[in-house]
Amino acid sequence: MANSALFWIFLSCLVLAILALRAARRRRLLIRERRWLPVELSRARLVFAERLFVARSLALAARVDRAYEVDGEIRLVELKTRSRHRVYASDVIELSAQRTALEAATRRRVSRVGYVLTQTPFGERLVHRVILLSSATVTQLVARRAQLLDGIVKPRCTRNARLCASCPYRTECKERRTALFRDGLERKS
Amino acid sequence: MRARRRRSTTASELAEIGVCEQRVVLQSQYGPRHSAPSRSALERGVEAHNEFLEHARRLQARGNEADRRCFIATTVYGEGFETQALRTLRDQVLLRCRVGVWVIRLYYRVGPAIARYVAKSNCRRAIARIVLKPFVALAALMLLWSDRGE
Repeated sequence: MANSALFWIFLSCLVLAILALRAARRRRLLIRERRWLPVELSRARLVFAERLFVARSLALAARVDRAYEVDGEIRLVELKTRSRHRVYASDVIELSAQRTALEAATRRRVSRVGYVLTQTPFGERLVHRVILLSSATVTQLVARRAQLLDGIVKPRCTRNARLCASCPYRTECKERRTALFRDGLERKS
Repeated sequence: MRARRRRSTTASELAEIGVCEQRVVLQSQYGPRHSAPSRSALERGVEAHNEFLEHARRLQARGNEADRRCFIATTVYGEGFETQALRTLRDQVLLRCRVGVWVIRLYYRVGPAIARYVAKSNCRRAIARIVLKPFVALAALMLLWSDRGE
């Protein structure tokens, strides 16, 4: 009798401990999410997570990290792991492409305001609000990329010396630029 | 002559234009290359994304738990595909227009009473299933259409 009672007490304690652990985990998760979530998204509904959208008419595919629905429109969030909390032009282009693809694929309204969430190696998160490019600009960029790959237009090089120093194509890039410079000199002479 | 068809450009490929156009061209010619630091950063990124996705899934599950207001459908079909399809119909069609919002508000008022009435016998459940069938079919078609779009 006493053994049976002890067994039931032990089982109840175990169940309670598991439930408490689950609740604590859920709470921790919510707190972590709330910490970075901007005010305007605090009441939003998470509608897509890591979903691929293809806009066939534009030949554009985009994987959305997260999409929240607020006041009938969708707002996009992109996670970036960086050593510093910085936003680059490439982040804005990426989010804008996601916006264009999502709008074309689902015909739902996507906000021109997007969010870049930067995360440092220490796990610190900071959200940056960015204004996205229009669909027309994204279409122009897709066309420019196609022209670059077909050799119709000359590619521009970055002015960021640090980026060049760490680029895995720097040898080929240097050779190409030297050849272009020589061509230019020959033409002038 | 037929035009050469190019595969879809991904958003991250397009973003490379914002970094360096020359690199975009070289990458297409020589294939993707990663330096040791960028490879480790890539791995870190994948790990962070997996964690981010895991959190999102848990949050979505929580959201779905709270969003169980398809009273009649839940009574008739349980938490099955039909209920999910009807929720999609509510979110993607009805919630987008003013009339739809009124219909939903009305449904939230009378729905629980109807659900209680339907739950009392199997015969009522069967009748409700017949009544709901066209709506479920419409919702399923919508789901199929949205899946094709993605």
